[in-house]
Amino acid sequence: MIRCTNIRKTYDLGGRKVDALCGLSLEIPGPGFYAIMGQSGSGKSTLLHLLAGLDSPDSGEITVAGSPLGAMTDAEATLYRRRVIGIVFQQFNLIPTLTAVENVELPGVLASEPAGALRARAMKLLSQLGVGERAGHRPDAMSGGEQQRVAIARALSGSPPVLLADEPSGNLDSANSLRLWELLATLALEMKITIVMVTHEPAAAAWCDRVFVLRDGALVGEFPTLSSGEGPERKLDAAGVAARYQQYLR
Amino acid sequence: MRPALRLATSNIFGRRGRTLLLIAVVTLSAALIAAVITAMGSVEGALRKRMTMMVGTADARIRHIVSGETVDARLWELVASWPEVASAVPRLQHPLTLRVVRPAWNANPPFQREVRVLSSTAMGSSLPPPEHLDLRPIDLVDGRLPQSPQEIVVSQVLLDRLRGKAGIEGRRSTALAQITSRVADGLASRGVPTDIDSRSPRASSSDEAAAWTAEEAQSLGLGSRIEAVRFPRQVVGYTIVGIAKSELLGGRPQTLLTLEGLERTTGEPDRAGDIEIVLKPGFEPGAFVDKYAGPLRALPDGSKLILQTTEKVTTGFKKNIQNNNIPLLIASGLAFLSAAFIITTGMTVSITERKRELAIVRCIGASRWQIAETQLWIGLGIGTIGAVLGVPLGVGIALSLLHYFQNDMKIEVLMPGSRVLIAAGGAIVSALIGAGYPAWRASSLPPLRALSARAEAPPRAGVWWLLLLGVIMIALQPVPLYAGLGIDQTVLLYLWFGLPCLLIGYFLLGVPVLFAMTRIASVAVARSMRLPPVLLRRSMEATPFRNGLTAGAMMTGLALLVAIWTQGRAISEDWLGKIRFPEVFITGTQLKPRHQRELDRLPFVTQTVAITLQAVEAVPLDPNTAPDQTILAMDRTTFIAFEPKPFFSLAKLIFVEGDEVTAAQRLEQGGAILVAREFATARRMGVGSKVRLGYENRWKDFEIVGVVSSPGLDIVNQYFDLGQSFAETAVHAVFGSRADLRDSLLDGAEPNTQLIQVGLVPQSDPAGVDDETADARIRDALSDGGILDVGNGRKLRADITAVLERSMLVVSAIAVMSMLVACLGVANLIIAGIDARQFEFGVLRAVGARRGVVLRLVLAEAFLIGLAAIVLGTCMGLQAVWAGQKIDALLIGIELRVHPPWIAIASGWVVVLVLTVGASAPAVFALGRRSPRELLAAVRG
Repeated sequence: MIRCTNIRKTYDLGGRKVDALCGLSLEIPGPGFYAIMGQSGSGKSTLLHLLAGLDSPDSGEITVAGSPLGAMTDAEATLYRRRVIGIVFQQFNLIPTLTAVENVELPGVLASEPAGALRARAMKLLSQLGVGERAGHRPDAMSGGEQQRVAIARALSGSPPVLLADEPSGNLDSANSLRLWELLATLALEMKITIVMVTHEPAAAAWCDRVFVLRDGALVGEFPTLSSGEGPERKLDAAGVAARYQQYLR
Repeated sequence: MRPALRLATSNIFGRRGRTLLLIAVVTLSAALIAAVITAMGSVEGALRKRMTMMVGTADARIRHIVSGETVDARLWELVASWPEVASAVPRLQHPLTLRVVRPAWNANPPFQREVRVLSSTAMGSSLPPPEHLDLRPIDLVDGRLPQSPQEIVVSQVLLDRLRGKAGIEGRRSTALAQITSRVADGLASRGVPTDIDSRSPRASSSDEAAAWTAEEAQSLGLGSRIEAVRFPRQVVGYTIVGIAKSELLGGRPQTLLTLEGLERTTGEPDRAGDIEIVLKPGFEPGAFVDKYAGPLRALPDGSKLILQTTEKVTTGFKKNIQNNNIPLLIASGLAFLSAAFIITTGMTVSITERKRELAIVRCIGASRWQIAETQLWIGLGIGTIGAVLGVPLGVGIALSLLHYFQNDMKIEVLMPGSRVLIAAGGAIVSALIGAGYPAWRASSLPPLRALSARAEAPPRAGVWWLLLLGVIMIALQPVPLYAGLGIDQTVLLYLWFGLPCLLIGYFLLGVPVLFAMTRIASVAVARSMRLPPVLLRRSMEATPFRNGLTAGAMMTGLALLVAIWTQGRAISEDWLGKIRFPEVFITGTQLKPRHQRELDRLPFVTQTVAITLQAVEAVPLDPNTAPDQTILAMDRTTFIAFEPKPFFSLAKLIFVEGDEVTAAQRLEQGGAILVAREFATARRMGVGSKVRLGYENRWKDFEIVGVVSSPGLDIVNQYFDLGQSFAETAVHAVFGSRADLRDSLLDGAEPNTQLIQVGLVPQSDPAGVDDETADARIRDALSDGGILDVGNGRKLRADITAVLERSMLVVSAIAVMSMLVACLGVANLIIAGIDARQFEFGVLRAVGARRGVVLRLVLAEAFLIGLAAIVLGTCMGLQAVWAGQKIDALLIGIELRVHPPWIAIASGWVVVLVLTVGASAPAVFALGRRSPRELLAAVRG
């Protein structure tokens, strides 16, 4: 579903060149919930931005859901973001002047979809995510957890095959974070979509099917969170994920 | 609904406060311009109506080459036979002295009835035949047009004068007051209505006397008898059958009669002032004139006839209307551009604030064009709402003011026509233009960079670019003035190119000027407001474009004030101050030297100058004279003769060549003349050129000893005879001494006197008198001097001064309105800045800054913006005045000095600072009420 081959990306920060990605290659298979982990500066956010079509690699190839991202024009990238992916940010990033349902409808509005169907779909999504009663409220009247749910609903409103989440629980307390991870895992399973979550929290990664570990702009390892081998299958917990993660960082 | 429109709608309603500010900017700008257009429409309508009434709608006319002379009225029959002519109508205008004889009761005991004569001068005009009345539209208040030679129509103003209304100059003659026992007979013989017999010959009290007198005066109206004085001692009676609307915008009272009716007074049948010609459709007046000028000259006495298109006569009026429009057009254009700049700044500030939001929308699938289109829809929405609110507001204000001053200004209040849509269109266009840059800016934001929380260093390169661009634009402003084009083209090019370059240039300079102002003044301002200087300086430099462009928007009003006050002072000192003409002008048909001696004996008269206008023939003796004299034929020359020394003591002539002292001496010696600038230019002559003048085969060579101009004479000429432009007179006139005229050309015969200039003792002097008394006593002294017209030069000067002051007041009001509009821009900027920097202010408070520091920081920023606006506005205003000086030299031929009234300008500076700081006050107070926690929480979502 998502294939990155030998991706390189360098940024210029005030005259200083920073190699964000150095020949990264990875493959994320079909629908599921996946985590990308790494320390600060490992390139995980850069990778997410490339997958979202917000930036383009200096070299290498990226294919998402059959769409090659390398040589897209700005218009093609716009359509890609509208149809193929949904994005959830750490800071919710809801439009402050729109209500919750209007925020969810926004991608459909941009695609000129009929208003009636758009509203019905938006309300259904909000209800599914447990914030249906907040449909008419603006972001400043909602808690952080509620705002993040609305943001997820907005990301799913176009029924994209891929959902990208950049540290979605970064601004949430532990209880809301737990609820958010559970929600994302459920969505991946029930809607059969590919959810890629960038995180530095092992507890978050424990909810995923597979974890990809980045270090210094390259993939240093990946492991499933469902352990296989002797005995019955067992899901790794946060400690388990952390231990496996640390192995790759050594 | 289009996605961008939905986004725009939610944006407009989501930020109501900020949107309302921008809507208010457009509303006030649209109101201002709609008010200006409405006012201009009524003034222009009045001028145009007057022009049509005075000049008519004819395509061409034939008249005598010497102004005031008549032609054979029967010429119309020949003209009407020409195939191109639809109609040819003779027209006569003649000054009349009209009087009414009314009974009156003496206010002193024994309150005896007497006869009172009230008189006034007026211009009598002949009506076209009934089938050609459309040649000269006439507005009647009451009654009908004259149909017989005994009937007359008078204007309302004239009627009021003859009724002796208080404050209206009418002239009471008590010369017949001694008729008592013969009153009834006297009244009867004059045709006074006999119902007077019902009143007692004696009133019982002064109140009753006054009331009966007033009643009798007021009864003058339709059906009353009025007399025209025909010299030497005849009177011609008419019956008032109609009352016309008052003359618009001042001018001499008018009467209308049939041609035969007017001939009863002139005593000269079959004479006309001109033959008015209406051409059949499809024939061009210019070509018609070219075709028939020759055949006309071939007629007997044809050399004394001139055929001209009416545009030549009305061009002066059209130019006047255009010239009157120019300052108002400039002010309106500046107001619109200023509104566009404010909207640009306001919306750009909003874009900067909402960078992250716009990035999110891009991330979830909005295209660049959708982002840009959203901004344009917002601009369109703001402009449309502003136009819908502002245009009716402006029209209403203007109509109310015009209605209030209607009687004072004698202007008919006209509903604005489709031209007022210019205000609506301008509002929408200015909002769209204002939204253009923000649209581009928003659409080109890279979403990734907008999402990052990284602080960006303020771009310095852009400041230098704006400096360069601003200087280039400013340097382009004077280009039209030196392009070597004609007057009309120069003025148009300056309005459409030069002035916008000036405004845009200074607007762009707002950024570098504020940058410089911050470097220069921020330390002093910070210390005076007890702020850390580095904090103030860094916060100003962090957003140089936002702050600088806001200063640019604020400068426009100040620039207007500087320009109008400097220009007004220049006009007042350089032009009005230089105008010196006699306090009184007297024209008459029978003026003699003894009349001048009578005037000299009056105690309040300082000096008199008799002036003769004598038609002479002329031949140039200068080989360099323009060879083609067909149109400016030298034989149509008027020798204007006067005594040089007293003339120069009363009238100020501006010497374009030569000087007054030498010229006066040479004129006294004889053989010398002065010519007007128009004469010299048309004939390519100057000081030293020689002209041979002759009358009835007596010739003499004269040397030109001076070339002069006189703005005052232009005004007086317009006052007395609106059908002839001064320029036309000046082209055919020379000025010389009466002695030369008498001795060299008239063979010793005393020249007739057509005009006497009179100097008066100042009113403050013990011997001084007021204008009304002077007028009455002069008329009494010259009662047998023929039909008299007495013009008051002091009143003329006062009228001009009043017009100038009124114009300055109007433009100053426009300037202040512009500043108030700009204030909204400042308020918007301050609010946006506070919104964007809430977290920064929260951090300041969190690290120990007091509430007052934060508030004074914002006020200090507004103060610096005001300082930058002062520098920009003053420089722009002075540069505009300098260019205006050049334009004035082109239009009115006078070089005005730029002499800024610094005290008045300094008061404008104070106004700018007060408005700028005041505009930020509400937002600052709101900021002061927020706690540090609230400010810090602004960083979240």
